[in-house]
Amino acid sequence: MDLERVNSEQSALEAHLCTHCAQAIAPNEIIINQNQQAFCCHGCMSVHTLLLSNNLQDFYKYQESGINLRDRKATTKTNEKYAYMDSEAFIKEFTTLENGKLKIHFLLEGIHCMACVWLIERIPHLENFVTQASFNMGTNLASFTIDTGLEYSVSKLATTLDMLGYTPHPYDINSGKEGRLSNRKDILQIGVAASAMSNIMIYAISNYAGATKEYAQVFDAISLALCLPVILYSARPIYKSCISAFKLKTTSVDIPLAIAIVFGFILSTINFAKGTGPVYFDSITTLIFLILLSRYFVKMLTQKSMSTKGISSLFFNTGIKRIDEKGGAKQVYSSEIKLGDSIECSEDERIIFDCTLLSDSALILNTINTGESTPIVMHKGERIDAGAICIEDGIRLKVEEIGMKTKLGRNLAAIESNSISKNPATAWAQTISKFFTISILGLSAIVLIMGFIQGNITQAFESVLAILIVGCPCAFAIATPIVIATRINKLKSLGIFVKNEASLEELNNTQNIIFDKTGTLTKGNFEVISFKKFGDNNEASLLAIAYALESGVQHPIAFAIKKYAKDKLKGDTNVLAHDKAFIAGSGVGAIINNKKYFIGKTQNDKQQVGLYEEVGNNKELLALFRIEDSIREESKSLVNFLRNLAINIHLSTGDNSSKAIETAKELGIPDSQIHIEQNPHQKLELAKKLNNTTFIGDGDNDALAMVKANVSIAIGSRADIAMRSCDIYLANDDIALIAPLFRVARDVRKTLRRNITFAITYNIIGIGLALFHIITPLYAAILMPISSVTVLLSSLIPMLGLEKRILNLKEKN
Amino acid sequence: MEVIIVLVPIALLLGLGFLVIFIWATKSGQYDDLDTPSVRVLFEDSVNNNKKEEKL
Repeated sequence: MDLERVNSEQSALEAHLCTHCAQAIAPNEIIINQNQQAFCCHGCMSVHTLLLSNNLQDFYKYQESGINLRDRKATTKTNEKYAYMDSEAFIKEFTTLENGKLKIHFLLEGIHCMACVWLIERIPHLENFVTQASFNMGTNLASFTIDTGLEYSVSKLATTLDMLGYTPHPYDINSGKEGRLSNRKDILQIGVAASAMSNIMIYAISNYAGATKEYAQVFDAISLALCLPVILYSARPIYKSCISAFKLKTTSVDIPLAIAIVFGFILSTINFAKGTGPVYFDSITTLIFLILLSRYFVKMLTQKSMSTKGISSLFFNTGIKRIDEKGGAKQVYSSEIKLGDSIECSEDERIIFDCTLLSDSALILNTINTGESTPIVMHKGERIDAGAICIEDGIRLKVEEIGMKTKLGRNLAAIESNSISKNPATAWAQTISKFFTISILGLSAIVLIMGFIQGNITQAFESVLAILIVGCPCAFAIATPIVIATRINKLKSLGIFVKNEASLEELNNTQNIIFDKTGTLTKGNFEVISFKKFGDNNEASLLAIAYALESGVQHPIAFAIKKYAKDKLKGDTNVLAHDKAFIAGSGVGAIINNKKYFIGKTQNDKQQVGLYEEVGNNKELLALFRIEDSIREESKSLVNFLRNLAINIHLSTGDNSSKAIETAKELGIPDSQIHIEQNPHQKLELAKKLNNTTFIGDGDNDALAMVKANVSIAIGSRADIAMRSCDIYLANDDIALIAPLFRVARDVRKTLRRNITFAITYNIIGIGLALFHIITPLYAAILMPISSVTVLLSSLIPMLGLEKRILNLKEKN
Repeated sequence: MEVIIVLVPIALLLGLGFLVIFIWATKSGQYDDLDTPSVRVLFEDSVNNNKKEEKL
């Protein structure tokens, strides 16, 4: 035997790690290239070869350990997949031309670490027509400049990106312009306020220190001038939300804030003109700066980039194979498709139009519309709704409805436009601040009217100003955003991303929690638990037959059987099946070696899959596979945890399976709270019907309910729409993180309540003193920051050891 | 103390100058992406520098 070869194989096997993705390789899947490097798959090997041949091996230097490159979906047939990007309609819609340079932006999926950024910015090494590439980690947006002087092809660029493992979605840069400009405006407003504040301090402190008459006048004048841009420009968001609160006839913390700011400014200006009385230009500027800054932190930390905006374009802008008169298929851009066109769909492709089927039959997965996770067979002439996934090759369809007129389009539009109103929130802090706002405004009005009646207007004005400044709800306006921001940041480090900051408070009010079964409570991957053969066939040949039957079938159970067979056979699966026939909800039949075989459900036990040989009309059972989708270990402890919080647990699933009910029973969920065969609209109704619901799901078919529920949590990053329509998402597919999330929510509530108690006590005392003129506005202006500091400390001290409390002491709480 | 009449305008002009620089930096998009440049600076690639910030 060739000793050298054995040795090299040995060393590769010992390493067990893929040279490219650094993941452990199953022994039978190892692939060795001519340099004796081991790979887990051909995809990894080809990317490695590509990088090496272009001197881009530095990629591995920047690669962080523990990053899984393998979950990048390397897609086959990519060459034609992006062909539509060369069409004129696409170029016109998605690129901009500047001085002979074409600019195109892609939203990239699958960015893991800095190595990815490095690689994307080295695209000009790979495609010479690309002159410049840059990537923004915050928005996942890559922009490429293409030299139109050279021969170029956008589809080639997209194919390269795809091959490297980054799925490109074309992005219309003009649609994102608004958000980017508003972000810049936020920064400018804060910058102007900061600049004014720091400059005003010089003069204000000089005055407090006792500057003499003329100097004091000059300093006040400078302060007024510096304060003006802050009042007129920086404070605009506060006025805006005050006005919109008036319009919507609700209250908001911004109402007393805006009044205090404007009123304080006017009074200070009058006092300045008169030459007597206190001026507050410094306090006003500082207040505005702190409020804007703390709000900006919250905005930055919440994942605004993952909003529901633009999800429909993610779905609808793609390449479609259109069938021309001669019967040939040609890839075109989806916007070129018209009603009545015939199209062809291939395996794993999402159908984006409402269609009728032209082929005799087709196997499709309609999870997004019906919630059912098993494929169904459609027959010629039947209607297929947009969103279904084709799981056979070469399916021909006639387009009946396009874009936003399709059912999927309408659902996406509803999600995008927020036209589904969320169940009303009942956050305690909001109620209190509402009450607080109203009482401060009422009190001010009374004092003012009293002043008019008594004829002592000046003193009444001074009292009102003191009330507004003392009562100015800084605890709400500054401390609340800081409490939320610090907690969100902590959650982020645990892999919990909060998109809607209000949901952290709202989570505490949860009375009902709805789990979507498929994948959330169970592991979602079926496994063959046992294999039993009957008769005297040998095991290997039976497994090879089973593998051949299931090959090409995109069903979780088929994957489980294929994996099991492949493992047992050590990859040696050389049996070919002919005349494959899919029988919906039952199984697959085919002819192998001139014998007819069938693999599928057994009659009495749904957890068993049988392999049969068909002889005439009889089926002879050859072997049984026992399949199980195991309950996640964490599910049980989570259910117990939630039950301790007195939350009702509901299960809602699209499947009609005894398995769902079994899962629920095993977890101890009562029958009345198990809802099976739920389509997306029924899920929505359920979320609407129950009070204070939290919806936990992971599929695209959950999106409508997610928008409706008080709080929605998406698990894992598999489903695009779910991730974009939720309030909170868990980046790791780890349901165990829900308990810490609830604990953080409790901590947020506790801290906010304490803050508010502090603030209210302080305010009541302060307002009382102000009413009886014991403290003047000057003392009020000094006391206010002291109260703010107290509240800040009270917000930040619980952060010490928070992580330990929420993760380690699981049993307490 | 009269020197303050010279110092105050200088201080104000300096402040204004920095504010103008800040506004220019923001408008030219330097604050659009706060994550990537911190990573990009670690790349030691002298072959092809396309680090030039892009103005969107």
